[in-house]
Amino acid sequence: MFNLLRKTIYDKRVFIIGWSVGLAFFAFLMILFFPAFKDSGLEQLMAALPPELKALKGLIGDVNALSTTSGYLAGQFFDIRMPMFISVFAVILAVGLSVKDEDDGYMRTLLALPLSRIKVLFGKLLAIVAICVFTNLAMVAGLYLGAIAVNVSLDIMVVLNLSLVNLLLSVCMTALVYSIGLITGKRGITMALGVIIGAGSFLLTTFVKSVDWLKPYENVSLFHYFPATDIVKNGISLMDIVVLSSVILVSIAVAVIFFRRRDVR
Amino acid sequence: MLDKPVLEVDAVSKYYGSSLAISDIRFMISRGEVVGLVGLNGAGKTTIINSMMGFLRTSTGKIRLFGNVITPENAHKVHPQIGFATGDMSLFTNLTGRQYFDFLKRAYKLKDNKRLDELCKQFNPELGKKIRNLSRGNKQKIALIGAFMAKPELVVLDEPSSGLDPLMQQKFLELINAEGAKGTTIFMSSHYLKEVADVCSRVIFIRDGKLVRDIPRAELEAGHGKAVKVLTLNSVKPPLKSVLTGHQKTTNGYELSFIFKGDPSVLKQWMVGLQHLVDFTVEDHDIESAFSDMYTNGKEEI
Repeated sequence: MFNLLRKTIYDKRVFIIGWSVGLAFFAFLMILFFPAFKDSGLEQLMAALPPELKALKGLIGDVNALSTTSGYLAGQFFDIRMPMFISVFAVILAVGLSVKDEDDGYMRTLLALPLSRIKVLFGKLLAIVAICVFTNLAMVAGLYLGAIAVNVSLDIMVVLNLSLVNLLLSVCMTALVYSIGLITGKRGITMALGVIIGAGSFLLTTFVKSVDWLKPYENVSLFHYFPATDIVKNGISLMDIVVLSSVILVSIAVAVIFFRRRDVR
Repeated sequence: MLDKPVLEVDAVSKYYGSSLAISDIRFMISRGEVVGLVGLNGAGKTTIINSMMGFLRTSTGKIRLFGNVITPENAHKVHPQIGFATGDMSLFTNLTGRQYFDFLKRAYKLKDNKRLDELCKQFNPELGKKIRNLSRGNKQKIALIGAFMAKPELVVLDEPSSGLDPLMQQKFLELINAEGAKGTTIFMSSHYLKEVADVCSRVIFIRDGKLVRDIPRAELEAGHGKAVKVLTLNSVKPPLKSVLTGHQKTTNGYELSFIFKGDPSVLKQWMVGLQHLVDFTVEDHDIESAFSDMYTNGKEEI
């Protein structure tokens, strides 16, 4: 299994480097913009907004909280932008490790070796976790480099809490799409469901604060379990951790059942 | 007590959706046999091999390898004893040949490089380049070395020599012969009957998903007769036990060709008795021609 983990990490090295550098740079820029964002008369700008736009809290966030680094990180970085990146990241990585490998014949080459399907499944899952850890660490490094550059301080507990739940959400999204790939073995279905889960979660969580009839469905969104602004105020919610972990466990359990039994092309 | 067969394919059928790919396939392979599976493209050879390797679940029937019924769930248990290569094998193209063999070494838990070094010396693959940058022939060398490097008891090869140049093809056939002589069981599919007949002790023919013949090589070689062509000034009929393959009037006389499958002395007597014989050729009707007859003449058996 560790042989496969090592090989998968090696295979994905360009992906890992690309995403790590990209996320670190993005995090660095976001912090770099913070002083200008804070000093540009944010509250005056908000006061000038028409009431219809003010009502769209999900899109704009809590204005008062945005004047602190923690609030800005939560409201502008983790609450809005990171989930979009996580969705794209998850679909690309999960499809690459499941259905693309099968389409390209690599899965068959692996399964001809003395490796059980379970070991193949978990070897790649471990690689997913490791890749998510690398990219999240790079993102945190980018935040701190930005903070040093503009001389602002970051609350270490806030960054730790936000990045931990961000990591869990990344693993959850990727594991879910990866499981779909292993269950179905079909690239089109896996990509379509991955996009539906990512984009659907993003839209649902963004609009649920202003569209009342979406309220009953907000629990369906994976991003509902990463309430960044609440994490800044109250710390990590155990329930969010339980839900995201359960999604990982259940999706992998279902993948184990189906992938062990089905035909591999 | 007799050894259990290494491979036992027992009434195996496989459907892809509603389409039947192979039907009621039955055969056994004993330890040390070198067996060829021959059929045209789409005949079902790869489906049989993929079912044996546990990539596919059989729709009906059972496959046993080393006495274990093979399913996708448990196939890995016998894989330490099996080497596998295909003509279009998807090797891990991000790796170099050397890295690929290191990966296989760890997967098979091999302690030393002795066998690998021997095979590399024999085939001389490019080990330092990324596999994606290698020619088809070099990729194929790496796949074949990978199949034999763990000294497996059974080697399963699906169209193994495609992509090899004639010199390497010869080296590959020598390797199969040497491994067969050492007692390694080998099961290889091909649509080149000549290649299979050169190295296999038994040949299994498959057509449209059905097993049509399972015969020892000796019987295969003996069984396809003489190809005869005679040119005479008058029209003649071939002797008994012949299959007519051509009869035409030419500017020099009448040309008659047929495959004779009877006693050679009868053919000799027939030739001696021919009046106005202008020219003749008599050749062994080779295996490839017999194979071609089998598939082009529909139901005719060789």
